[in-house]
Amino acid sequence: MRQTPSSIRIIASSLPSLLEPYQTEWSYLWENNAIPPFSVIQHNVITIEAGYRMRLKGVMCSASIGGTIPSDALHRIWIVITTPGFLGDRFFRRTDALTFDPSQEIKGGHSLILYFYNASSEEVRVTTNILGVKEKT
Amino acid sequence: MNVKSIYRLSEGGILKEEGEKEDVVLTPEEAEKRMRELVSGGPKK
Repeated sequence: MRQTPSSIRIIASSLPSLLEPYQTEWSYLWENNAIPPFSVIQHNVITIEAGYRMRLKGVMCSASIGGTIPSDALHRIWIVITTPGFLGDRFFRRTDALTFDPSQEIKGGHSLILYFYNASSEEVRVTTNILGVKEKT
Repeated sequence: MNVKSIYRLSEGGILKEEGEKEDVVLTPEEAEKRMRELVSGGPKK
């Protein structure tokens, strides 16, 4: 097993908002610039603290070669939430967006993990943005 | 996680955090095994 660095940006906002006082808008940007061909990347997004829960709203993802040319290979992304266990996957070319309606809940103490399969024979860059609402329980 | 910078803007109620993580590179077979363990509550004994 080996590891590859990736960059992340997390933004949480409580104001201005249409949300209730106990809720916080949350977004998570993940970029990995060097996913090897025919490999799967595992990225641990977040573990929800006790006393909170996350309402997952949507995921957007794209894959490119060198950051400029959209990857035309058929990639696959898995969204995994630990026990009691949610496992969703999508195949996509170039870019995709997925919304959860109603929201997919992640309870306190549970984790959100992404897996991405690079089905291209070239190294690809993946960008994923995850949107949700975090709230106190 | 190596966090590069953290901003806390109390007026706007915004928390912004940037950093780096190490992602794990797996074969498709290893990944499938890990995912199944995660959603079933851990490795099978």
